[in-house]
Amino acid sequence: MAARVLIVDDAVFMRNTLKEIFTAQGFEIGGEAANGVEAVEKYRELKPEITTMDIVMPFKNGIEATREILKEDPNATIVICSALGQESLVMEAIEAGATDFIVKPFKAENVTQVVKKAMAARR
Amino acid sequence: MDMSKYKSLFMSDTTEHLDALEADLVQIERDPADKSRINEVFRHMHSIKGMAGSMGYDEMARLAHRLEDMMIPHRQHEKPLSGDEIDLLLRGLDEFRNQLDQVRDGKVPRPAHEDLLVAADKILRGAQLQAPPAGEPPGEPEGECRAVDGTMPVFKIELVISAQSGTPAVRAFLAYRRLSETGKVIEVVPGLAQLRSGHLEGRLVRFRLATDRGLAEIKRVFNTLVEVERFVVEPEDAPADREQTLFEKARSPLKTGRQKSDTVRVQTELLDFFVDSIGELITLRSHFEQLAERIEAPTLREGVRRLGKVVRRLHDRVMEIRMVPISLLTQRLPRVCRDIARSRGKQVQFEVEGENAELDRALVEALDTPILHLLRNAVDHGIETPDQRRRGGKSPLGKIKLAVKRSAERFEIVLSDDGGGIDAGLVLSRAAEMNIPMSENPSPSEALAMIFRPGFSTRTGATEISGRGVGLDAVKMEVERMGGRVSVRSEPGLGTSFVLDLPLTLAILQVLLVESGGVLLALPASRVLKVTAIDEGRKIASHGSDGSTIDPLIDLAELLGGVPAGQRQSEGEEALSESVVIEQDGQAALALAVQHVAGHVEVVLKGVGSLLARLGPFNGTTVLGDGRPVLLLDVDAVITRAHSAMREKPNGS
Repeated sequence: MAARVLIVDDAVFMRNTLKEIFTAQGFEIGGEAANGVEAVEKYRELKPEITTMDIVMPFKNGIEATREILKEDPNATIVICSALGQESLVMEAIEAGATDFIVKPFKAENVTQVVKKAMAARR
Repeated sequence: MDMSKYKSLFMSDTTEHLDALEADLVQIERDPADKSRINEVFRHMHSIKGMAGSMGYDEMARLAHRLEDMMIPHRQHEKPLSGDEIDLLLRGLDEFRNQLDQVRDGKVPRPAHEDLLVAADKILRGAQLQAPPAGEPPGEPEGECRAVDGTMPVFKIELVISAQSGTPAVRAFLAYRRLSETGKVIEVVPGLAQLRSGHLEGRLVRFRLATDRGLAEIKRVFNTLVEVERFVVEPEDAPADREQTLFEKARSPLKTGRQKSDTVRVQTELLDFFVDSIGELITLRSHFEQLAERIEAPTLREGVRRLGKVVRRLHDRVMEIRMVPISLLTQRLPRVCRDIARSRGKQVQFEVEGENAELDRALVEALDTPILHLLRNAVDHGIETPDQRRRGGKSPLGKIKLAVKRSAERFEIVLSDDGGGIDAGLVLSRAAEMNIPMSENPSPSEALAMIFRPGFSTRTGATEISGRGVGLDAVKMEVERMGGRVSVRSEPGLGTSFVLDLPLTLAILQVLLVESGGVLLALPASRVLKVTAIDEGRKIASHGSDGSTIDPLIDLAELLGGVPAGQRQSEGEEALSESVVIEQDGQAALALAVQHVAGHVEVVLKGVGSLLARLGPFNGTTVLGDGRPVLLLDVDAVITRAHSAMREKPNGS
């Protein structure tokens, strides 16, 4: 069964980019969330194998959402999506328990490599 | 991956961010310490950076990156933004819009003005000098050396991050964090603080790890990390041979069923296609309806009636989809107002009321230019300078308000200012100077209406702000093209209001078809008071509605420059059999004599080119069910024309 991905990003554009990458690699898009609050709700509902998490989002940022998701499900595999120049935020997310991170702009091969390894790490 | 197909989505997403950014910045200018808005600005810059980077628009991403960096100290230390910083951000915003235009034109965005980037850097460097030193958070498990649990074996680890990594320090930090999950990291070289600062010289990091999980588990950490060039793990002392406590993390049971999104994004072109198709459906339905009447087929008529109901429902729902909040139009106005006011040395408070009202997207787009023009005028000509206002006993702060009111059928936009008002006398003397034709004794409202005449201006030298672009005549033409009307009210010393009265949607209109001079013409049904026999029309014409206005019976064909009535009467007496009474401002204004009224139909309105508009008082075209094209009469223009014709020939027809 294909692994299901929950894509969290406030930009539709980014979500679509990731969707295309994941779909091409045979992942199943389990759902999408546009902010941290939605992310926590969708995670609870879907229990996806993998979650990609943007950091800077309205209502609740990706770091807080990561923290909350992991509190409920310590096995959650969360990959942070960051931009160059966000090193300190990414490290904050890693401390919160994120499994790995990818840096925008995304390259399909990098994304899938990180995601597959992150899943292996949490197995 | 081919990103070109994401261009339109990129454009629309970025535009949304820019619009919101603009609104935030104008608010921040009022309250430079507004923490949530400062966060929002950061977020917008961040999103723009990410999207532009993904599209390969490096210059756009670069600018966003600088501006985002500039926001960091403000976010972290809740420091208010300075006026210079707000100005810089606004300039950046304009630059983004330019770059977006370049994208729209199929180009890759050019670099921003160098002085913009330099100014951002300067502010950034200044901030770094003042920023408190980046201290470690309290309770941090910091230390090149931590207490060693003597009972556990210790491993020495060397990790080299791949040269391809753009973020080696973060990679090293992640490795540290993952190792911490398997045991106790007792040493990191260079220190954690160094990693946190984002710099890692030589891409090499060393760890000492105390763990009882065994070698394989440590290796697994590195095998599940990316951008690892190589790693070496060796026991510091000969490790005790112990059983590895591998455990499998239980996966949560899989939930089946896919989540469906509630909304989808649709290209506006697709919506336009729906509207056009439904328009055609409505036209075809009219055609079948007439056919059913002609061949007297009741079953067919009933079927057509039912079809009509479905089409109508479909039309209503599609129109609903096309509705967008007018805030799309109004949200950038505060900025425009601010910029003009600043350049003119005026103080203006701008307010929008009813911006949640939803209107047809096409209307909102079409309104952009006229509203912008009226706002520019209000700031430039309407509001006085603070000194003038004080002398007039007013607060130095001028007020401009844009109010949107929606009713079931129409909506009204009122742009009012509390400025000096328009001097009707001045308007009249200017009009006379410019040889603009006018009536003998114009009423104050007639005099004010002169400002909508082509080429009219009360200023001798065009100012920087209002001297360019469209004049008020263009505003009037644009609004009328949408099937609306514009009027002005003004009280000298107290202010001016421009009122735009518009239909809710552009597309569908009830019209009355009349035949005049052998030509079929359409009149908007909303402006028709009644249809009477020609003699009744004469009666209305001779009585007038309240004595003050003239509502003559006038031959429509002659008014439009056709053959005069006298000549035509010799051709056949049935030429003028009915009259249509049309209204203006709720009162009977004119009775148009026509050959006959051909019926009441619903048509899909199409715009009229400016060339056609010059031919006569028309503001739309449509195609009937049987394919005949029909011109839609511009009722107000017809009335104006009739009134001036009446003045030339006081006895009427």
